[in-house]
Amino acid sequence: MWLVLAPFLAGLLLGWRGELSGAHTRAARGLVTGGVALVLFILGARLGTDPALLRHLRVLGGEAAVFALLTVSGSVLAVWLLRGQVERA
Amino acid sequence: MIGWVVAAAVAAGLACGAAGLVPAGVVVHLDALTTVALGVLLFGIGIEIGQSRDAWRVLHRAGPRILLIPAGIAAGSIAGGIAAGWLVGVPLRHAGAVGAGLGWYSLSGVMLARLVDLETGALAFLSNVMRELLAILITPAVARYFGRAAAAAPGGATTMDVTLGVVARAAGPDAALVAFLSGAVLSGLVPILVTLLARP
Repeated sequence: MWLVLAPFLAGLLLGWRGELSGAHTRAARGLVTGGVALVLFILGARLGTDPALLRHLRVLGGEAAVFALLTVSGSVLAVWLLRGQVERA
Repeated sequence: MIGWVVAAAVAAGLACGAAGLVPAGVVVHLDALTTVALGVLLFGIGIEIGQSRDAWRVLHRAGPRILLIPAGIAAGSIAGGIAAGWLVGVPLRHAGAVGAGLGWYSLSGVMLARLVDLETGALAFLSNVMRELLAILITPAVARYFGRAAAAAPGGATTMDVTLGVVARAAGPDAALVAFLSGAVLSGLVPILVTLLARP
């Protein structure tokens, strides 16, 4: 938990203090875009090198896809239905 | 633009992994590499959110009502899981527990393998992996067509880490702050909801 929270909180504090130059702010943006690509590449590599996952995919792939699609749709729909309350907040 | 970046990155990683292009010495360290890359990413997002005074104003104005977002995400996901179970013939209670995984595939997969059976655990693992991949791909479109608050919905619990960068790029720093809080709340809820739904 702290491995995730600590860098986030450090970045928050640094950004909040407002002492970063334009170059540093641009570097932070690059860090996010590059970080997204790197994290997702590693995620893909982890999945691609996991033989158990590839085995499950053949057996349960269709059912899992239905679950993924409907759970995401349910979450999006629920927040969309609550948008009046959320926007008022 | 960000949609293409994420799709290309995941596809390249998957292809390299499946084709055996990732050296065995690196494979054993992928967990540690993920942690380091996440740290770098979250540090950068933290700076962006810290600099955005709008994000803090949004949070201050919203107060406890902001919790409606994770509550809606959890309820919608469980309902979606039950609907999926009805469609494919999985017991509805167990299907709801799979939906309560909220994208946290490692935890929900292990928990359901213990609490129910191996097949349900595998289904939870795989469907939540797919949810994370789907979230990465569709979050920009969700933010565009369903509003920026809904950008936190596809990722579920993963908006606290892996999918936060996609939310930040697709919906801006204020939505990223809300998504991070939502992801943190949902991460705390996953073990509770999965246990409550899986146990008879």
